[in-house]
Amino acid sequence: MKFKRAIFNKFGVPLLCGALIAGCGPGHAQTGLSETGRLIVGLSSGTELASAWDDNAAGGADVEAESEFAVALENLVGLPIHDIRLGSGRTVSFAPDWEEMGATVQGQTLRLGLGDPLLAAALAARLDPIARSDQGASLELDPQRSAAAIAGWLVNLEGVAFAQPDIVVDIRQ
Amino acid sequence: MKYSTFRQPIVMSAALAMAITGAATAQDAAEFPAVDLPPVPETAQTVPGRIIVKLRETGLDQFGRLSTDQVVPLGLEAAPEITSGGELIYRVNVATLLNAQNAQELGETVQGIASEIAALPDVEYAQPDWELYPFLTPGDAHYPLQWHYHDFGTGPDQSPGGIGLPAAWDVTTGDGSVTVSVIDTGILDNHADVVSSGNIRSGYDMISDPSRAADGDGRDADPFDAGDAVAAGECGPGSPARGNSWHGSHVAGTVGVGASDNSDGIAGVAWNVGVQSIRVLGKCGGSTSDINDAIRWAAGLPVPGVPANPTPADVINMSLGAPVPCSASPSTQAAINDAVSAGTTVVVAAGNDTMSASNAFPASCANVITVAASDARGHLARYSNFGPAVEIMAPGGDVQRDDNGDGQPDGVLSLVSGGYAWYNGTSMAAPHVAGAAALMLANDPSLTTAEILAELQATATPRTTTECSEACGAGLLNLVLEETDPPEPPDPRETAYRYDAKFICGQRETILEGGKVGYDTIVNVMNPSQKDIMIEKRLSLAVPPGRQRPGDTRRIAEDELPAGHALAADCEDVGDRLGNPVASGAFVDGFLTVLSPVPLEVRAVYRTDAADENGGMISTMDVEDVERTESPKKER
Repeated sequence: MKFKRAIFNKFGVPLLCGALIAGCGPGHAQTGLSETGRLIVGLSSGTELASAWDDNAAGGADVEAESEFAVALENLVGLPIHDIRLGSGRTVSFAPDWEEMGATVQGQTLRLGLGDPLLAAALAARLDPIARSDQGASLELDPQRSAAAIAGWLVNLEGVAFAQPDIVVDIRQ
Repeated sequence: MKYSTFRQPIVMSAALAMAITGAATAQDAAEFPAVDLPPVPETAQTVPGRIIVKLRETGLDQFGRLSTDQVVPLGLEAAPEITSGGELIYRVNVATLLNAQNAQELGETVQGIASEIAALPDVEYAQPDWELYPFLTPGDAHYPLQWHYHDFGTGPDQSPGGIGLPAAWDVTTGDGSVTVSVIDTGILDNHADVVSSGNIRSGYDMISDPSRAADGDGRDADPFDAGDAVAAGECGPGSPARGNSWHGSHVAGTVGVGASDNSDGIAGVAWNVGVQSIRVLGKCGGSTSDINDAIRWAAGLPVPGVPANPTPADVINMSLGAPVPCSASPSTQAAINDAVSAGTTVVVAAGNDTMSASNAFPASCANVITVAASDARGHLARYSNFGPAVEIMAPGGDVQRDDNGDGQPDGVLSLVSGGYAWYNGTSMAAPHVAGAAALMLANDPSLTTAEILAELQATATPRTTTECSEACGAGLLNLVLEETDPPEPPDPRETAYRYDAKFICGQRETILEGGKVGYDTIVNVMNPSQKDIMIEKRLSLAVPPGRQRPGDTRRIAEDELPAGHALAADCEDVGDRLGNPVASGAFVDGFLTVLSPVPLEVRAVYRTDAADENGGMISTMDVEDVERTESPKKER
């Protein structure tokens, strides 16, 4: 499922060109880091989105209803969502749409070409960038720190009980 | 993350390791100074009423035995048997036998008498006739190499890194109704040791990402391990190449997914157990979101898009993790809490980063049993995580050492593709605890997670600061299972019918000088009803002990008595049930009581034999109907 729409976060900042967390595909997954840029969000019980999750998880909802759920989540978290999966226990994991947000990966650093110095400043205040361009229109982010930062931001949203990167786990041999 | 893998296919000849035990306890003697003997283990049993005595040459009487004056006051019969080694076997008399309340007390009584005999000047040694038996050890060909299961100690068939499974297996080898879910890389269900086992249960492949799963799709119902091999750089810049680990099969093999005690391969901690594989780890590990779903699915909780688990787990094993604290993954803590609330015990590996497990997850999560790894010395393994998050330590091995000197690496031996291999890690330690929990639940299904942890910690072998230079929980796993009382069988006697027959056996002196009379009793019992029943027989003794002191009543046996059939209780039958004291010349006088759920026909036949004044034999026989006493209450 792929959603292409103009998304605004709770600050009214358009995120069409913004990328917030890092790591692109299994090739860049490292133990303890965010996997493929996915996030896990736990929904607070009693909220409208939690009720929607219940309806979908029970298997009674059709594809259209699932899409409505995804759109609702998209609007909640303020990110364009490329892939969404209902997890157990009223959790949802999703990957933002990196392509839509114009992110590029340079080595282990995620580079956001934001174009708008004001937007870059707004994100930099939340995402702890490693470096900013001289013009202030692009950010370089550490994947792990950024994942934690975006999770810390999401957890403050109404209806979100917890949020975290989808951490890579491996055998403990 | 550190990987230290040592794999080497092995071919070994089968060897059955058996151990025998025998010990004794001291008891004060009234007339002779007692010889101190080792205490009786609770499991030690004696052949009822038998004491082996070896005399010095000076102690022999004309019959080559102790005198009657020496043995009878101790509660022994005068006439012993002679063994092949020139030893004598004395039997304690029936009164002594019947005064014991149970087998343990009888053992202690016999030991006390043996101590008194051993103190006699003419006795070289005296001991109870111990019942020896092998500790239950599996017949699997490679079991001798599985030092990690052996009894704790430094003697034969023991290991200072062992966790005492042979003694535990004497109590239970598990129950197939107990399920352990192994959340890992999947399972090689085509492994010969697994194919020949009935222990595998339906699992699930919970990996969502097809590229990680490497089996052509995302989630599906087949948890087969398709491999997790990666090329250099495939898991990130600078990441090394690595081959397939078959990690999940190795872990599941330790729990007991393979066939144990089948003369082939290896043994598991639990021989009879349901092992369910849930695949979450593939190329470059696995995702937390998949693992969270696996935890809930294992516990029987719903997961969107996944069919319900047909055999929810009693125990979950997770030999996996990441070097971040549990606080970084509240979703996993929530999943664990849900599983524990559903009644599932969650066992996790502490991690292999030689750091505090408080900085690893799920090791540092609440409501889990976190397991550190030990080596064959019973020391905290060099790689193991440690610290306050650790509940207990179990064998994880160390393939770089050979402390037991068997010429093999001291890893944990278990299943991999095409055979067996030694691995080391906390991954290998955790399934020892998961398997132990499965045995505990097989022995007592009512145990809660908290009770399992408390019991594991209470019986763990404490470690010194030399053995664990960092905190390793309660110590080394030492599985101690106590026999649980079997459920009370349904009482066949809804209403008990009671028959008390006079019962007299053996020889007794007559009032005539030198004369003796032999007595024999046969009680015939017939079931005239239309249904098969069980009858209970008891003996209430009047002589011995005599002297106006009432004798004890002892339950002799419970026998089947089919409809229309009859059986006899005679002196030989009763004697056999009591350790054969009657046959060896003891005199028994009392009442034989028969309890039945239906009315019976009961007749007693009494015979006496006495020598007449001319050296001939006078015999008498008498038959009496035994009257019935109908009891309104159950007789137990």
